[in-house]
Amino acid sequence: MASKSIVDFAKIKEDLSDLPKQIQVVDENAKIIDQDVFKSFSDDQLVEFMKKMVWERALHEQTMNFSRQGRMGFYAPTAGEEATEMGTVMAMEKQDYLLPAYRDIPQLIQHGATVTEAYWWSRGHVRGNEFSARALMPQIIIGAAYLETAGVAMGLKKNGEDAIAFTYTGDGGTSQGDSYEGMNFAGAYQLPALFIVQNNGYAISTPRKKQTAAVALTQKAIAAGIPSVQVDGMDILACYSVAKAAREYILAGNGPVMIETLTNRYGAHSSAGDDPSRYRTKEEQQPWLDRDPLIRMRKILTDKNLWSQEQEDKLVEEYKNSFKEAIKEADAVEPEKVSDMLKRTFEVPTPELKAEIAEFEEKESK
Amino acid sequence: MAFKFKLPELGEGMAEGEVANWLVKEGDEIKEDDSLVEIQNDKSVSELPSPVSGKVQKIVAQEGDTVEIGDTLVVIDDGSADTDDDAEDTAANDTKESSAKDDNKSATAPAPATGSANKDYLAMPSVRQYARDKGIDLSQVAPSGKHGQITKADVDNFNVAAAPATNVAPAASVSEPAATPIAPYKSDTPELETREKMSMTRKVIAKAMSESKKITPHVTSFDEVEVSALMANRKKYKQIAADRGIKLTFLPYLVKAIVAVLKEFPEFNASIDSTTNEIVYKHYYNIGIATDTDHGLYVPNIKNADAKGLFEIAKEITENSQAAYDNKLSAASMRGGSITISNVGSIGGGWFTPVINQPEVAILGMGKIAKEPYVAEDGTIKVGNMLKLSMSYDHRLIDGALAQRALNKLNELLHDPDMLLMEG
Repeated sequence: MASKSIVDFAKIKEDLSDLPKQIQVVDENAKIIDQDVFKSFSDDQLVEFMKKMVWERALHEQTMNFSRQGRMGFYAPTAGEEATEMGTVMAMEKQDYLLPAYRDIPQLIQHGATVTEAYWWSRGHVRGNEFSARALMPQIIIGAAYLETAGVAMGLKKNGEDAIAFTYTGDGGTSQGDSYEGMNFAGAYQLPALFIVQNNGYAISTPRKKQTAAVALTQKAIAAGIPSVQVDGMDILACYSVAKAAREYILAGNGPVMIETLTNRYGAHSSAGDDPSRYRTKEEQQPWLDRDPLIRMRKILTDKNLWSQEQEDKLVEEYKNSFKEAIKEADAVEPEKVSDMLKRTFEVPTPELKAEIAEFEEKESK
Repeated sequence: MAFKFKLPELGEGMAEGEVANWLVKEGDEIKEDDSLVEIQNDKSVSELPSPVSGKVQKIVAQEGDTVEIGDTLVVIDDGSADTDDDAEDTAANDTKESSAKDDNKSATAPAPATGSANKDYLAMPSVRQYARDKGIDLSQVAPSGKHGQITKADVDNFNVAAAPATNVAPAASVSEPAATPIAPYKSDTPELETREKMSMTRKVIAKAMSESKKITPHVTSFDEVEVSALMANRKKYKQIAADRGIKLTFLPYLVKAIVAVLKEFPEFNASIDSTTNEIVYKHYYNIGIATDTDHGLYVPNIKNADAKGLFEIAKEITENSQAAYDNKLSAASMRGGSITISNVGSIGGGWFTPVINQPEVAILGMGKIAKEPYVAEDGTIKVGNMLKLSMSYDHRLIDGALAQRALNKLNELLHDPDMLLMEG
């Protein structure tokens, strides 16, 4: 009967396909896009950004070697994600609470954990769950750190602390119910939480486009009433500046923020054995390698006479030596005991637990 | 005095790898993180760096050897004290298969299946599925993997007939050779022969082919068809295809014709689930093309060939074959096939008896097209272009008469390619 539809779904859908504006300070050719923001950084700061990225790349390379030598447990490669990881974490303060996922080990260390503690975590040693930083242990369940973040942020708010909770997930994580629930809760209670989505294009082997019909992951925050923004994840100055602005906005009592960083993982998903050449072509990846975050910073600093290849090589060697020291320290720890694990189950152990602890301590003493 | 570098677990569920290439030799001085060796597992190769600096004292695992996780690959003199498990390690290298070590392994394993109706065994989901497919009760299988894990090899080695009636399966009884063991190859003139380890891919092919012949009663029907009209058609469109960067061979025509045959004879687009005695009919048309490369045989399939035109199929055949050469085929591209075409015609030859690519139920062998005399419809003898076809099929599902009818259909389509327009 009705000749004209009551609603134009096609139009509504079309409106959903508008891409958000991607924030950039420096583009892939090291051209300054945002002069005002760029000028706000001192030379020392610029060098510091580069150093952190060189550190993370060296950490990745050395840890990858350790992994192939059979000296690591689980390890998720980070090469390619230096700008988004270092840029965002450098914008935080020590009192802020980090809830990392498994690819966020570099941020965890930057936030205060030691490399040795991170290696213990990889090996599943119980001491790898106690960090010198204000952080929970890296979450293995995809998207689940978003839930914890909402809880921790609630605590910070109730305590009236001058701190925020910040967390990471990947593009795949945004398809998990947990990530929405976490954001929704934080939105409902206007909690001091920063949700970062590191969109590296692949959830193990599932490409971003097959993950969701949403054209941008920033849209995932809209339903929770949270402001969101997309950032060039290969531009450390943009990642830092946006994260810093988000932190200030959140601390002012405005509720949570979500940031999507567009980045790329150069290697495999994890050391568990996926072979990226089976799901990703070289042609598809080359543009990302050309956009490498280290290349553009190196160019800017070299042009300003603040950086040299010799300096970088020396730094890499220094860093790698420090990681070799760290793994020696990790090796030296006493192997984990079952009783240690049981003792960490409850602050005040239940009678059954007490009996179990006694039983294992008895066995372990022999 | 020495550090033993053992094969680390390079991937989840990885049990073994093959030593592909040593990058150092005995006597070499190496530094920490220098590359030592390339290890191949399944289809990826990993380069392993050295955890220590020192001198390469002894290469324990040779190129081509299959090594398990924890086996010593190389001994490096780094000035450190010997590791405490020395004795066991050196012994293990020579007597990897010895039952003494197997016993030792299962004795220390935390949860070997011993109790009655004990479901407490360790096995990866893929192994559990594999055992289910083979109808083997895992609680009966003795584990040989790390931490008492049952591996796929344990399932393969499990001898159903030899299993005791009770649920108690001590390791020793199962690790004994199967009822009809294969005799080792012996020769009077070993000095005139050389031995070479089978590559990973070769082993996979060998196993798949033996399995197929074991599972399936093969029958092969032979036929030939006059294809002058088909050749003319190809000649006509070859250049047009080439202009679009497509190499048009006879294979795409055969793919198209087979799709039409499968549509009329669904028994050929099926698999048998022998655990439930069910015939599984496939409502998709993924036509496999056996692809020979210098590193082994692969069968990628053209997905949904019924929905594709000849040019598109031709293009995909070329792409798949290139991917096979480059070792870039995905596992998915080789799974879920309907039927396989094995084409030796480009090399030569006539009829042969192809082996079915499990779990499919038929395979079509394509010989070369040869000029031969034949009796035309009007009774005169002419020179024809004769294509030799050999079709092997699974006699559990397909009987001879049905196979011949299907072949007749195929002949009809290949003899008169215009029919492909009608039915393809």
